[in-house]
Amino acid sequence: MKLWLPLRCRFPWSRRRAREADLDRELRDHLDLEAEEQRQAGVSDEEAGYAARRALGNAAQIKEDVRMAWGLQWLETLGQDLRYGLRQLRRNPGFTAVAVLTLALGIGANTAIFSMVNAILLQPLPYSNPQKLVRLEITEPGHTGLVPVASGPDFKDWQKENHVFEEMAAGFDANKSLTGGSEPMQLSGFEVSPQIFHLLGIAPLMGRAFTQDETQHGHNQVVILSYGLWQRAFGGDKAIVGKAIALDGEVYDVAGVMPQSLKFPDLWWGIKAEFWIPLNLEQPAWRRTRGSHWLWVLGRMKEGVHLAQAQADMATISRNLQRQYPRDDAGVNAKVLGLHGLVTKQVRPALLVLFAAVGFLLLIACANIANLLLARGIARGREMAVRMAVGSGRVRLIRQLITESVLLFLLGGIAGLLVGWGALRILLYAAPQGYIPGIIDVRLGGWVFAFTFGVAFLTGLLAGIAPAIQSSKPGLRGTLKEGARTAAAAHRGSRNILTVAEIALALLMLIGAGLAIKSLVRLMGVQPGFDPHNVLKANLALPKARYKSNQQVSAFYERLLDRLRALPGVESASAAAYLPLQGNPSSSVYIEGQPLPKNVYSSPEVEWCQALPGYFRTMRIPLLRGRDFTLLDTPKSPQVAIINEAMARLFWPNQNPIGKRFSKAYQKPQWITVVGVVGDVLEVGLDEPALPEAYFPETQDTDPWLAVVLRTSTPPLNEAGLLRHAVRSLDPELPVYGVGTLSRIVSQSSEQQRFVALLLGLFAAAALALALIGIYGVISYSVAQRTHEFGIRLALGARREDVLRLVAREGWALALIGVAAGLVAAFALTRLMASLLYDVKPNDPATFVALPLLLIAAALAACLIPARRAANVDPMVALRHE
Amino acid sequence: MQGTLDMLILRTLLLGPLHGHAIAKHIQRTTDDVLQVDHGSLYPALHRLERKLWIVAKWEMAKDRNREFKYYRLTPAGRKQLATEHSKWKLLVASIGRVMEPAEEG
Repeated sequence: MKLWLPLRCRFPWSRRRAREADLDRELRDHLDLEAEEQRQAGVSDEEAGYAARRALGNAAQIKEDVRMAWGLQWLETLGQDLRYGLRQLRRNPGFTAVAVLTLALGIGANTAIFSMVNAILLQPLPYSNPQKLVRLEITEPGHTGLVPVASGPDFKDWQKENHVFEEMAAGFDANKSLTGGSEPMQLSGFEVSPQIFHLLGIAPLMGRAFTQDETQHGHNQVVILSYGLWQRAFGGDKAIVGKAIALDGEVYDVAGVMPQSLKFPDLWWGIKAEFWIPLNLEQPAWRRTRGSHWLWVLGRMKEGVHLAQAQADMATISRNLQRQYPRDDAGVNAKVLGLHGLVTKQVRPALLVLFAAVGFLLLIACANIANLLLARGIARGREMAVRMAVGSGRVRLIRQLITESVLLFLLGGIAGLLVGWGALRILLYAAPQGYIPGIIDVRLGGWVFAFTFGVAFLTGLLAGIAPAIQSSKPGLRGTLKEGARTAAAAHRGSRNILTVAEIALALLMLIGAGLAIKSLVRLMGVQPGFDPHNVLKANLALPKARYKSNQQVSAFYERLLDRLRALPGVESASAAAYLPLQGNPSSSVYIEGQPLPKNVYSSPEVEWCQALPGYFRTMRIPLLRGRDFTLLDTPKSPQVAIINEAMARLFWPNQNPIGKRFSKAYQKPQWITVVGVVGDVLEVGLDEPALPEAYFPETQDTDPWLAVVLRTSTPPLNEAGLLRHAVRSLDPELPVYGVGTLSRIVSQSSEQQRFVALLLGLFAAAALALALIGIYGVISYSVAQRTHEFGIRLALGARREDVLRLVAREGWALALIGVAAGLVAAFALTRLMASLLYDVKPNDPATFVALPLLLIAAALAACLIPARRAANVDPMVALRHE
Repeated sequence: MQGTLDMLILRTLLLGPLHGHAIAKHIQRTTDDVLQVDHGSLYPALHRLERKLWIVAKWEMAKDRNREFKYYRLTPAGRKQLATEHSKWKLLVASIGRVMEPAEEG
């Protein structure tokens, strides 16, 4: 059955007028013939005309029906409705502006956050078959939670014994200095098993991956460069493969270059991979120790293998290993975890909370607009009644009203998309370092576009339906007579519900934001244990090739610090292996006089740090007992250490720890004597308590990689150039990296909470504004409707305060119910954000009392304006008002 | 009764081309005024049938006067449709008849 009439109606629009004229003519002919028949039956000329018309019926209706039969009606109607809708919107610029802006805000925020959620949580990782990729972590006895690294021998056994993995690969972070160019550069990269690239499904851009032979000592000085490094340091030299470069003073052959699109998983504290070298499992000797955990391990599951199967297999292997090596592997169980989850783990809770928040914001925005539309629908009740009386079908009217709403929401959707695009740019720019996993590309995708439009469209439909149906109810004769007054009452219920819902949601968001902000304030108030102001830091990594002995290392640092202390603007200078808030390595210790531990895991652990004399003074870490390191602490003098309060409390509670001894090894103990106690510093982050820590003199426990700290009297970054100069004067081939201020490091550790709190705060503020506008609108409208009633009351002797109170009561009721509902919701829901809070309970009483009061006060203030207007009404005017 | 009206129109046109008014009058006369075709539903029906290609329309000069009217005539497809509708109608009528006046039992 053809939908189009052949030939004649190929171009419906141009033919349309012809067909309309045709139909007109046909109907006129019919009337003429009918009239003629009537005259023949003896009716007068005049009467015949009327009789004919009566017989035909409603000509307009007939034409409508015929047009329906023509079938293209919907397109025509749509066009008409759209044009009408646009005219309506243009005629009410205030309404349109408010509505579109509200929508743009709600939809825009949603789009931005949803893009992030989509890219980070929903999209798969950029590797082949990413759902098969897993990471292996282990349990350690005496350690809650999982440890993300394993030992070399265990890894080799896992590779050999497993039945579930197609491939396994391991890696470790590597840092090397690149020399031979214009400036020495410090690079971060990885030592990796040769299988790693195949496991991830990445082929090199140029050259090749490593071979198994190249992991052997003596053959392993080959390197693969990242695309970025290749461009930056070698200018994209096409002949780079096969050339030799100098890493840490040693010769490495370039085996290949990785493509630009490669995103290597940043599993190790967000280190960006600039180079890869083969993994050495044999040297130095500690790598062969089964009890030493240092390797991250990835695996690709075989086809058809699920996580549970892989887990079971690894559990069996772990048990076998525990039996074979009871001392080293006791309590060590391998756990298999999906890689995607791990990469996104950190940011997931915050992202979900933000997503919920913008969802609520959108709901509030839609509720506001629905209210607006309802109000307008009532105002147009008369218009609808007239149109229906003239013959417009009810369905047609509803369709037209819905089209208007949808049009509004589409405009809002487009505006929202633009706002969202801009907001996403800003979010990505402002997001803390490493917050968004580097391997994920966050973009506004087609999906998000569809989502936004879907939301806009659906909301437009829903928000348009109720007023549309209400406005076009039959029985509008009443409306024609009485005017809008009584019709208003009918809508009261739904509008009140909407307003109450808005207030509840706004309160929920306010409380969420309040908790996040309070948490942030608490976090930022945490004392890190040192004074970060005006301290410059820089990292140096002395390469083994040129600093072969410990003595050379110590001598270099001593000379450097002498020069730095002599600089103008430098109050004090020193260096240490690990700065606070950056994490330390830890080691197990054995305390003299305390019972032997069962194995290496059940002995207590302390954080480890090497430092030079003057470090505590420079950092303003209080020296509580004993002394600092001095030049007298040499490799030949007795081994000493300075411990922090936490360690003193842990091992020698209520005693003087000075003079006590401990050792790293318990089999042939090398005793270290405690000579001083310093205040705690936070090693891991502002939200983690201080751990027991022991400091050792650099001369006795030499680490070639130190962080130099300078306390300056001028802004620290001004001294950076002088620092570099000092280093260069001692060793021009030594790269200086990680230059920054300690204040920055401290603020960085609360960066994520700040980010979340900022966003939640913004959303809550927007929600509050919208909710207040909503309640203002509803009360205003109600006052406008009841002007007549107020006029009567005033005329009958009511006082102005009475009218005021009447209006206020209405607002009061709405606000109270809304706040009550919001509180209930908050009680139930805030526990979901507990993981984001520091030192603040999800049901923090202060927040739960203060914010509702704030909201009620604000809502009442919003009601006050229309209330005042109501009270100041002139009775004479009001009585005349309909 | 939409389907019925369609069928009546098709049957009327079997005899030859007619314009809208004449179709209505024919049905009225033939049923002795029992079936008063609602003129309001006539034209939508005609245009619907036209869209389905069961009838075609053309402006022609009337036989008995100096004026053009829009004449409808049956197409072969319409003829076939009429036969189908007619047999369906006969079946319907027979079934209703059996209910209303059941055959004598026993």
